[in-house]
Amino acid sequence: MTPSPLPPPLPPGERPEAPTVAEGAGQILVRQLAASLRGKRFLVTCALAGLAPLLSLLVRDPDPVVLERLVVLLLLPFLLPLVAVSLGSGLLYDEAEEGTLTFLFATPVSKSAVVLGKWAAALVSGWAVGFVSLGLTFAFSATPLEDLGPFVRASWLAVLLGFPAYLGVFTLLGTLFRRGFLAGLIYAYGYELVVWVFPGSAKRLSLGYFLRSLLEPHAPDKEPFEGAFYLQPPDPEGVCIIVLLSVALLGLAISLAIVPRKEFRARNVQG
Amino acid sequence: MTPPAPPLLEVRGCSRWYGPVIALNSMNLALGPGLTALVGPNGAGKSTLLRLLTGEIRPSAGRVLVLGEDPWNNPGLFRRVGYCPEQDALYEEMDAPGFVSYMMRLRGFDPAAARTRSEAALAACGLPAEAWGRKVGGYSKGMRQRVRIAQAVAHDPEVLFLDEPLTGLDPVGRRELRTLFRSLAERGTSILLSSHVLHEVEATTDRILLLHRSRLLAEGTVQEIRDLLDEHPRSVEVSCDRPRDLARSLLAHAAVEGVRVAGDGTIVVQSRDPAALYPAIVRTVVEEGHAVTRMESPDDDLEAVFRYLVRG
Amino acid sequence: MPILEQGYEPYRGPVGGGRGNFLAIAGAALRRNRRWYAWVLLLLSLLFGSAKEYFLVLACYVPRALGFTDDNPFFTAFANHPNLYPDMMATQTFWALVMAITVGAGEIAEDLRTGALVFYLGRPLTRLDYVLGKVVSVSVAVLLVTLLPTLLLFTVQAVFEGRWEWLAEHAAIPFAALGYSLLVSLFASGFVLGVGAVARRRRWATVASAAVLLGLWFTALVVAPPTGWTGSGMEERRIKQALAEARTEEETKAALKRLSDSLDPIGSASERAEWRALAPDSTLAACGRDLFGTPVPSNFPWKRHWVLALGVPLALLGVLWRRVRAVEIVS
Repeated sequence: MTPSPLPPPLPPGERPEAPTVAEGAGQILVRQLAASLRGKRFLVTCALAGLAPLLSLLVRDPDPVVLERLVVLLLLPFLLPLVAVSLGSGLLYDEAEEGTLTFLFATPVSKSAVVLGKWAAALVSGWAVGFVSLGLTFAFSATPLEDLGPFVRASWLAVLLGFPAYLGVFTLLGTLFRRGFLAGLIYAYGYELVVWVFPGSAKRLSLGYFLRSLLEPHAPDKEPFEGAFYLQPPDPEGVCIIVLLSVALLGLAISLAIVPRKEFRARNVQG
Repeated sequence: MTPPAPPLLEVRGCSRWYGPVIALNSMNLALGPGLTALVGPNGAGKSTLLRLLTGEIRPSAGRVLVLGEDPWNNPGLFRRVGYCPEQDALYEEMDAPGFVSYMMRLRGFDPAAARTRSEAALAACGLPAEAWGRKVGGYSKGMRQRVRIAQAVAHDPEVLFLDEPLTGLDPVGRRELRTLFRSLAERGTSILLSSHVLHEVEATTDRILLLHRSRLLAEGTVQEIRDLLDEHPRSVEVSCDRPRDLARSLLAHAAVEGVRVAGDGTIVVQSRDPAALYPAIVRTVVEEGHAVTRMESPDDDLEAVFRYLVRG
Repeated sequence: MPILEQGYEPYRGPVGGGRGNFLAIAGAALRRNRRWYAWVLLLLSLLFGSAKEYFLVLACYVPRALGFTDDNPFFTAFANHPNLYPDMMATQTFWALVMAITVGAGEIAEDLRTGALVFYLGRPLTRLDYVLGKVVSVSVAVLLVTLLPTLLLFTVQAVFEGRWEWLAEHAAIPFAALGYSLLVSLFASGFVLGVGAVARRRRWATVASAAVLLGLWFTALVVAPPTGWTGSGMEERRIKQALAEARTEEETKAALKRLSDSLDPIGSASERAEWRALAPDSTLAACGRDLFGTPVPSNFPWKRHWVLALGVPLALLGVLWRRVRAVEIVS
C-alpha cells in the first residue's frame, strides 16, 4: 500500500493557540473519566465499595447500631480512603510508568492542567462510588432510616467532604513519592489508626477525627467512637467542614505547585 | 547584512546525571534545519538528549534551547514541536484516530480540524484505514509505532523529535516511513531522529550526530567525518584477473600507502588521499588492461565510521 | 544439514542441584526486599507489636535488679500473667500479616509480569523449589516480627528471674512461640502468595492482599457485635434488654449465661462471636492461645479456628500451585 500525502502544512499565523488551563484540564478530565469508567481499577474499586451494601443486605439486623457501625467502622475509615488512594495516589506516576505521560507533557497543556484534569476525574468518579455505596447501604438495610434521624444527613456530608479531603492528601503523596500508593496505604491504615488511639488533641492530626466528629453527635450508639474521643470531645460541625475543605484544597494546591518543578520518569528509564 | 539565523536546537555545556550514572557529558551542539540522525550504541545517551530537548527532564548542568526557548516547563513551545517517544505506550482503550485527535485537541485544534488532520496523518504514516475502528491495544507493534509517529506529525511541527522511530516495523514499513521523514524535511520540518541501527540511519540521512559513552563523538555527514579520520587510511577493494600485477603497479603511485593481496583475486589498496586514489586506480586499470570485476570501499559506510570512532 | 532434521534437544543432565534449591529463590526474594520501607515497617511492627510487653517486663524487673525491694504488684502481675506471651503474639500477628503483604504480595505477580517465572522454571528447579523458596522468603519476614522479639523477651525475663525453677516452669513458652510463629508464617505466606498470584503487577497484588486483609478486619468489626461480640457495647445492651424482658426461667438462665460469657475473666469471650472469625489475626490468636495452654472458650463444638488457620493458607497455596504450573518445563 502506498501511504497518502501528509496533512497540509499550517499557513503562517494559523497555528492554534495553546489551550488555557481550564480547556486543557477539561480535555484531560473527559478522557480520564471515559477511560476510568471502563478500566479494571474502577471496577475493582466499585467491587470493594460494594462491601458495605453487601453486608447491609446480609446482616439484615433492624438495630440501627448495625447500620451505624457499617458507616462509622467500615465505610468511612476503610472504604472511603481505599477508593481515594486507588483513584488519587498515582495521578502522574501511573502514567509515567506506563509511558503515556510523555505524550501529555509533549503538548501545550501545562503540567498543572494535567494534574487538575486528572484530579477532577478522580473526584467525580470517587464521589459517584461513595454516594452509590452509601445510598445502597441505607437502601438495603433492615433499619428504618427514621430511627437514625440526622445521622443519615451527617453520613452524606461525611462522604461529600471526606472523599475530597482524602483525595487531596493522596494526590499530594502521589506527587511527592513514586510509591504514592504505598504511602497512601500507610497513611490511611497505619497513621490514621494509630492517631485514633492517641489521647487528646493529637487526634486532630487525622482526617478520621473530623469525619467522626461530624457523625458522633447524631449517632444512636457512642461505643464505636469511644477511642476517637478519648479525652478530646468532637469538634463542632462548622469546624469539621472548614478543616476537611481546607485539606482537600491545600493538598491539591501544593500538588499543583510541586508538579511543574518535578521530573516524572518511569523507574527504569536511563541512558 | 542580516545576522545568521539562530540554530533551531542548541545544547550548551549540557550534562545529565541519573544519581551516580552520567548519561550525558558536557555536550555542545547546534543544529539547523533538515533531517539529522542521532546515532550511537545502546546507553550512549541518545534518549537522554531527546528527553532534555523535549523538556521531559532538566539538565544537571548547562543549557538546552529549542527554537530559541528552554523546553523545560515551557508547554507553549509544544505548539511547534512534535515528539515520538521510544516507549511502546499508547492509551490502549482508544482507537487510533481518537488517540491522535485527542493529542491534537490538547494542542488547541478544534474537533473538526483535529479529526481531519489526524486521519490524514494516520494515512500518511501508512496505518490501514480498516484498522482505525479498532482499539490500539489490539494493534501490532508496527501499527502502534505508526500511530505514535502520526500523533507527532499531525500538527505540522516545526521541529520533530523521533526516538527510535523505526523499531518494530517491517522492511516495507521502514522504507515508507523513511520516505515520509525525508518529505517532511523537504517541506521545512527540522527532524532529529535517533537510532542505533546504522544501516537504517544511512538509508535515511547522511547528517549524523555520533554519541558514545555519554559524549558527542562526531558531527557532520558520514563523508565529512570519514575524511577527518586521517589516522585511518581509506581502503578500496579491487577484484581483477591479475591482482599481483595491479598491486605492483599501484604501489608506484604517491597516493597509495600500501597494498595487500587478500586472495580470491582481490587486492586491498590503502590511501590517505582518496581524491587522488580513485583516478590512479582507474588510470592503471585502463592502461594495463586489467579485467576488473568489482571495486568498492568498505570504509565509506557509517558502520565503518562508527567502528573507527569508538575504537579506543 | 537440512533444516527439517534439526530439532529440540531436551536437557538430559541431572535435574536439581540438591535439596537446597529453594534457598536460591528465597535468597533472591529476600535480597530484593531489602528496601527502606521494609525496615521502617519492621521497626513499626516491633514498636506496636512488642514494645508494651517489653515495657511491662522491664518495669517489673529493672527496679528489682536496681535494689528496690518493694515489687510493684501491678507490673509483677502483668509480667507473670499467663497471657503475656500469647497476647503479645496476637498483636504481632496483625503486623506480621502487614509485613508479609509488603514484602511478599508482589513476588509472584512480578515474576509473572517480567517473565522471571519462565526463567526460573526453565532451570533445573522444580515447582516445589519455587513455591517453597517464596514461602521461606515471606516466613523470614514474619519470623522477624513474631519469633525474634518473643524469644528475646523470654531470654530477658529468664535472665532477670535467674532461677532454674522458673525456666523449667515456663519451658513450654519458646516452643509455643516457635509453633505459633510457624503457623503465622504458613498462614501469611499462603495468604499473600495465593491472593497476590491472581495479579500480574506488584502494586495490584499488594492492593488485592491488603484489601482482603483489611476488608475482613473491618468487616469483622462491623458484623461481630450483632452475633454476640462482647468487644462492643451492643452485646451489653442486649443482655440487659434480655434480662429485663425475660419472662420464663429458661429465658432468665439464657440471659444470665450470656452475661457470664461476656464477663469471661480471660477477656476473650469476643472470640465466641461467629463473625469474629472473619478477622484472620483473631482466628490465629485463638490458635495461639491453644498453643500457650490458655484456650479461648468457644461456642463451637469443633476447633473452627484451627480449620481456618490451616485450611485457608493451604487452599491458597493450592491456587498458587496451579498458577505456576502453566510454565513449568522441568519435571
